[in-house]
Amino acid sequence: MDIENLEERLRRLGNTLAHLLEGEFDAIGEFWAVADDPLGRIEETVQFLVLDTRTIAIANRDKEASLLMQQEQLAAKIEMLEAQQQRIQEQERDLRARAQTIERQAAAILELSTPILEVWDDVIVLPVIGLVDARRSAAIMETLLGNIARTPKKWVIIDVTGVEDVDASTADYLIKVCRAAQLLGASCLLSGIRPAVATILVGLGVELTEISTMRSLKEALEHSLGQMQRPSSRPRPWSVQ
Amino acid sequence: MTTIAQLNKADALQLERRFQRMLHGAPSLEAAAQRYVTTVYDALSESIVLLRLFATVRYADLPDENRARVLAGCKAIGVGDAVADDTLVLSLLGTVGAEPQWCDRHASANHAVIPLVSRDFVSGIPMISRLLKQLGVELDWIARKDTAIVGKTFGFQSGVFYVADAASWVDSENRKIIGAQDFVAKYGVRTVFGVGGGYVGSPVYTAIISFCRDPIEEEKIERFRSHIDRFKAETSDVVKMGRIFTA
Repeated sequence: MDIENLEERLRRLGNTLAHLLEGEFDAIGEFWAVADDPLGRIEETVQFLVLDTRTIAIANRDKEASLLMQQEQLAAKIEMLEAQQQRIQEQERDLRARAQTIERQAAAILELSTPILEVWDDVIVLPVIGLVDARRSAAIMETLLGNIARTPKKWVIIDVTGVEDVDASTADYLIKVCRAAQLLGASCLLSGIRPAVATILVGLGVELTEISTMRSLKEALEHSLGQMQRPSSRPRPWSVQ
Repeated sequence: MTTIAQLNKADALQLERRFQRMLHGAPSLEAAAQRYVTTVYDALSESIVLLRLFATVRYADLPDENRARVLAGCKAIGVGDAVADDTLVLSLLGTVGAEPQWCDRHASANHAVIPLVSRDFVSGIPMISRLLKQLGVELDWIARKDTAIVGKTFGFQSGVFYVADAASWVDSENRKIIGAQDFVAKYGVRTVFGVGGGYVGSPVYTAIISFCRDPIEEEKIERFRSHIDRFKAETSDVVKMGRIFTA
């Protein structure tokens, strides 16, 4: 069977396959009409091969482009998350610093809230102002007992003129402080109980029988100084002036 | 001519190559779409009642006629204000079927443009809602106004939409997925399926939907996935150049 334009058609087929191998689909150009002869069937097969290969190549290119885009989006998200993480860490550091400052301030306030005044030889006054809770009670106890242990005192006056409100646990704390002072050999006076506080204590049913109480700091000082001039300086337990 | 159920691997490959050659050199996506549906319909008209090819197109890129339709339709249902240049509109680009009026996209009254204007709007059309979901296109991007999502992610995906029995299949809200039940009954439509895929870096997403008169197993539909790859291979240049519609 004669094949028309054999040389030219073979050259075109060769060029097409060469472009195909290089992935140069645009260079292949338009498809040509295939002749109805044996070479025509080969030409048609090559044209199909071009179509199939180009489809796969473009689909793969699209997938790669999509993956690249997704990778970029992922990288952007990671960057955003890292920035957020950094901000959170900075905030944490800031909060820690603030918490430390607050703790230091609280300690300073606590220290300032439990001053001990040496008003006379062997007489100290501990003015209490504001609320007395477990923490403050412990601080009062520690400061007072530390002071007595270092330089023994005969008289300890706890002045509560600055205490405007009281509850059962506050009263209990004060009783414990007094007991502890007494165990270390000091006599303890509670002064300056306001009428409102006294009313509350009565209402609460708090027993202050073990502690000597004085109306004011002045009276407590007079009492303690007077007692020191007598042979026995310990006051009667629970004497309301 | 043959049916989709009878289509063997060699026939399917031959059909793919045939339509791909027909698409070669198409001046626009619309022209390619019409060539595709015509070629495939000619080969499978024993099975196919109606074959359509849609693509998402930005509102601003629509021809005047389609823009007017979108705006009128949206205004009629009170969402006219939601239409913006970036609003994606599922646009009919190619159509062919058993009735002469189905062979011209300009003759389509109700399905020429479907604006993806809001999640609620799309959810209200069971077929489109399911089509997008099954093709891998979740609807959240509509609320986010992130139309770039199509180009960012859909290019990677090519999904399959499948309704085995158009007359009986319902969605999670018990609505018929194929809403046009009079059409289903009149033409004996059984299986409806679609394949879709996007063009990377572009908001264009293409979906081919086929309404068939015979029952088709889902397994057979998988063969149509490669239609999208071949269609995209021949049309990526015109999409890149923005030649969606034939002037």
